[in-house]
Amino acid sequence: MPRVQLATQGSTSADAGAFVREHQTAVWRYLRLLGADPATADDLLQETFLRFLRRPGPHPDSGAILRTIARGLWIDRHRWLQRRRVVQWAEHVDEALARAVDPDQDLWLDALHACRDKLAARARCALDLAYRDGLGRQQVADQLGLSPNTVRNLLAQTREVLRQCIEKRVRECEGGA
Amino acid sequence: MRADEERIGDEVFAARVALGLRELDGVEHAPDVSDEVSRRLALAEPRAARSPWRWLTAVAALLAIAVTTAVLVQHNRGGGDGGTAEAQGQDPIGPSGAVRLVYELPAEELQRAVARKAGQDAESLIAETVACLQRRVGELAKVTRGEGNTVIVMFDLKRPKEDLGRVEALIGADADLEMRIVASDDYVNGSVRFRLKRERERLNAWLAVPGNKELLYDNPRNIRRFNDDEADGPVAFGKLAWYPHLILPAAGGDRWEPPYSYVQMLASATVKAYDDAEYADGVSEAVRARPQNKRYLIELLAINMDERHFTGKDLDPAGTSVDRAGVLSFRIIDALAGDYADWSEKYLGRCSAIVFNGVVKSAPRFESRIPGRGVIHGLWGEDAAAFAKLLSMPLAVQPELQSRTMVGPR
Repeated sequence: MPRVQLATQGSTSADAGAFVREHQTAVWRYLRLLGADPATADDLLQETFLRFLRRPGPHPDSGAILRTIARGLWIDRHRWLQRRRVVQWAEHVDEALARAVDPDQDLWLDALHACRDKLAARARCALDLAYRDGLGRQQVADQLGLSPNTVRNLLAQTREVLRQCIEKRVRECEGGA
Repeated sequence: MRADEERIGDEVFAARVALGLRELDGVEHAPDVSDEVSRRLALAEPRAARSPWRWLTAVAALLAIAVTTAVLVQHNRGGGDGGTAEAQGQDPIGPSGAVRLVYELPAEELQRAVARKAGQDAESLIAETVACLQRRVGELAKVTRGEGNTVIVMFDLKRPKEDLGRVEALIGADADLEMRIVASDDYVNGSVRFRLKRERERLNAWLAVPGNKELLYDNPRNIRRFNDDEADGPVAFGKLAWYPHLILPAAGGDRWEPPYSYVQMLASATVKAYDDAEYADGVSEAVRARPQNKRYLIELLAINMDERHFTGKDLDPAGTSVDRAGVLSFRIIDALAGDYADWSEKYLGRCSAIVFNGVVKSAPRFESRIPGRGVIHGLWGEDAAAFAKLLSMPLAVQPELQSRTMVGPR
């Protein structure tokens, strides 16, 4: 995938706009994954680009630097006592993304889309209720007419099926690229 | 150890799935911030030129940061006025989701406010504005400080939708009060003097142009188009301006209230923007068919812009109140009470104009020296209470709405 490499000194407003459009979705996804709520992610997204674009010099790996800035801003948002937990989670996220072939998560998202469609109806429904809609286990159980324990097992199995499916599809895309 | 890694990997995977599903199903998506980032980049202040004072400036900045930090720490401990939900660890987004309004406090306005309010810096003014906005909206929404010069208002969607309109109205409401002197022929200040006959002729010529009167009735404040016209506007351009006064239906609703042109002291400074028959025939059916806030005739009052004046920012918020009859009482801040008294004494027997949001509400005559207190008549019903509320919570800087976004439920 082509990447806009920006030398920030002397860059024009149009350059900056194109650069932001190129990277903003990935940085926003990263912030959300770190745990920022949508509103905070919006704020930090702007701040991340402003900090990046005010730095001098060209940046061969803009995506990585943007994630570093975003991560720093997110951690700075937390008070000292909360930071340990936030930093730990950020490390886990970074480890997971480091293993991913597309840190921007476009491929991963496409794979998720395809793999979800392959799930059995009940599994897909449980997945949507629990993850997309954020319902608790009891609420999902009530809606599906299952016991909470069954929902827990169903979600665990569904995650595993989904994980294998996504990894397989991403590997195929990687191999085909 | 391996089990731990698997558990953590599973947690990250679950988080990615949750966010991925929300994005795929359009529950949320990345915003486009490219224009905003470009704008803020363009607005970035140039680096200060190197000067012998730079170290002093740096030390002052560090001190300011230290003080601000101390204030924020105190604020987060719950000592601040209008403490924010985020700062106190509460979640302002309920299970129904929220509407997020982002307002900007324009940098130029902030600078002007800092210059006006000695002893206050921009940080404290922003904090004061946030606290004031929170008091204005009360329980309807949560107001917090955003990045830079921004203020964030979170409206919980569990509340009735119409409350969102109230929140926006309360935040955007600008109680712009001016107390000025009505222009007169005998005013002389150096080369500044007024010829009201010529001024009236000039305005009548403008009103005779097709479309101008309609423009005025569409929005009475459109008179600024005349006032701002250096070629065909006021003869004493910049020193005299015309302000609209709305003649309302009198009690009973059939007749109009007396216009200023009937008041001897004001007649020479008044121009009618209506035909005599319109007034004499009373409130017509056509007028009654208009929305209530559009039922008026307009006349224009010449105001002396050269003489000193007082504004809502000169009022003591604690001294502003309204009685049941809609009469608004005000008190000038102590530091200016003497100036106001001198001003009223200078114009004994003359009329001042009390202007709310660009419209003359009353033109009382100074009967005696006024030691910094006064009353305002002529407010519309509930407006009196609303104005009193706004005047008791004045904003140093008027926020400008930048964006309105939906935030999904937690």
